[in-house]
Amino acid sequence: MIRVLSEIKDGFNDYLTSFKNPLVWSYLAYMDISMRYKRSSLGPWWVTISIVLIVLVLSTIWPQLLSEDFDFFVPYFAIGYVLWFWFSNSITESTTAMIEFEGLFKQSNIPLSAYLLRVTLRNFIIFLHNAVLIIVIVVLFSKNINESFIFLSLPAIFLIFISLNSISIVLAIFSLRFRDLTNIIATLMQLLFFVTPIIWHPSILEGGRKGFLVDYNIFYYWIDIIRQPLLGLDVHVNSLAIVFLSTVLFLIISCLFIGRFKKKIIFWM
Amino acid sequence: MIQIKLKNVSLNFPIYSEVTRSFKKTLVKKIIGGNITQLKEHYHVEALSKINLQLKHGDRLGISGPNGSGKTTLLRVLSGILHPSDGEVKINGVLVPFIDLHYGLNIEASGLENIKMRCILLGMNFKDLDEIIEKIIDFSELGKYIYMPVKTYSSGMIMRLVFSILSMIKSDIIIMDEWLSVGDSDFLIKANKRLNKMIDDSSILVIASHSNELLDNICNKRIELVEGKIR
Ligand SMILES: Nc1ncnc2c1ncn2[C@@H]1O[C@H](COP(=O)(O)OP(=O)(O)OP(=O)(O)O)[C@@H](O)[C@H]1O
Ligand SMILES: [Mg+2]
Repeated sequence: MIRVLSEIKDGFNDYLTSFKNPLVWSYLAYMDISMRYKRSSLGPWWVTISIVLIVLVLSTIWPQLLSEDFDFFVPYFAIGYVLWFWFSNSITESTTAMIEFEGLFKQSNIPLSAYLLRVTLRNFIIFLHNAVLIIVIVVLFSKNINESFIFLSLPAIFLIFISLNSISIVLAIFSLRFRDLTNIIATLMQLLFFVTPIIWHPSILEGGRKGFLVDYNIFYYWIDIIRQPLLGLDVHVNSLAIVFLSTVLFLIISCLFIGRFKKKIIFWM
Repeated sequence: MIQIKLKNVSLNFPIYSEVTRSFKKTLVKKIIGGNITQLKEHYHVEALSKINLQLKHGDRLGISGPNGSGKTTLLRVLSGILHPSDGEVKINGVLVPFIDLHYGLNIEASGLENIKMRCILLGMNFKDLDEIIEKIIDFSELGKYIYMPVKTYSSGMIMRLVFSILSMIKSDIIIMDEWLSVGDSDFLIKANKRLNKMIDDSSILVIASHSNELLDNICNKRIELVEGKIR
């Protein structure tokens, strides 16, 4: 028990060091994006364009298939999909992060959390580009935004960022040791896309089997807490509590992982 | 106070055979049972064993020893890159390691972008960077190549780039794996001059080398490593 506590403390200090010099990981995240899109004129906007296409195509077919209201479905799907794209890429990229940064890791003594903050931040920046689509959709479709967007959704975005980062740390460490995890996570995320209420509404599950797909699905709460206010609806009562508590939990677990494995992972490379 | 202190430092490299590396196989092993311990047993290479070391201002330590005796490993421990399996490491002071210079470069990025990234990784802010960046570019003499991706560089040009960055950092402690010979003859003279100046300005120098003559010339303390132990 004492060992676990001191490992958590080590991990916490690792985070503190990262946040004392945020320029390191924010600059590297920015460079990653500018490198990735160096030779393309539209840069990260290409991702936004591809999302727009998917939303357009699916919005013309899907409402008829599900006999959903077009005006409801388009913003519902677009918001959910942009958010999902953020979560999914952020998590998937973390499984290859430490392999990507191996050279740097063997050269530099910046904190472990800084490497994953770099990954989480660069995916967040891409999300901000795609968020323009959300704004356009909301302007076109939504009658009124629920005021809880300000005091629930915005803080939630920050909590989700911290959660994604914590999950990334755990996955990055695991997948360095067990190289198959990269593929497992990629497959799992594809599966979760269909299981999470993004292209369908939880109301169609009313009844017995709803629990597993919705109640125990953290992605559902992350999406719900942002999507509902933008659609002019109330956030479900316990979403904020769950998002907050899970963030704390993820953060502690990630501190434990940093403390326990930080010094060992160089041997796994 | 600038100092280095190692107490009973040991370091083992675990050797993971490819068998234990893969998740699938680990799962399978668990299901089948038996024989696990035999498979799970790791081999270790004992690279450092019970190293004690204390360095203070003015010390120039030379490390010699045969191949594989642990010199580079010890330097990596001193740089905070490797963490010992056992023992205590205490280092006070700004430290610049000249080990595996080409590691951590982004070869898709230009020389200039790599300078910026490396400087920020070394803890500078944009203001420091503005002051120093022209000096680095001038010293490297890379000319227009500074705007080209590093993957188009020759190995000598890469060394020039990294050396020009590192040698610009004001550091208390310099850690060096072999005396750096960077670039062609003209650059070499310039680089040697710079290196000597850096060492003069530094508080502690630790250098590993196979050349006893070199170590005799610049060091005032010596250790020899044999099979990871100080002899
Ligand atoms: N990444 C690694 N994984 C496993 N073993 C390693 C690793 N790096 C070094 N070793 C082992 O550690 C020991 C010390 O290696 P080290 O590189 O420190 O030697 P050295 O004194 O620098 O040798 P050289 O004179 O060749 O540079 C060697 O036995 C080597 O095989
Ligand atoms: Mg060596």
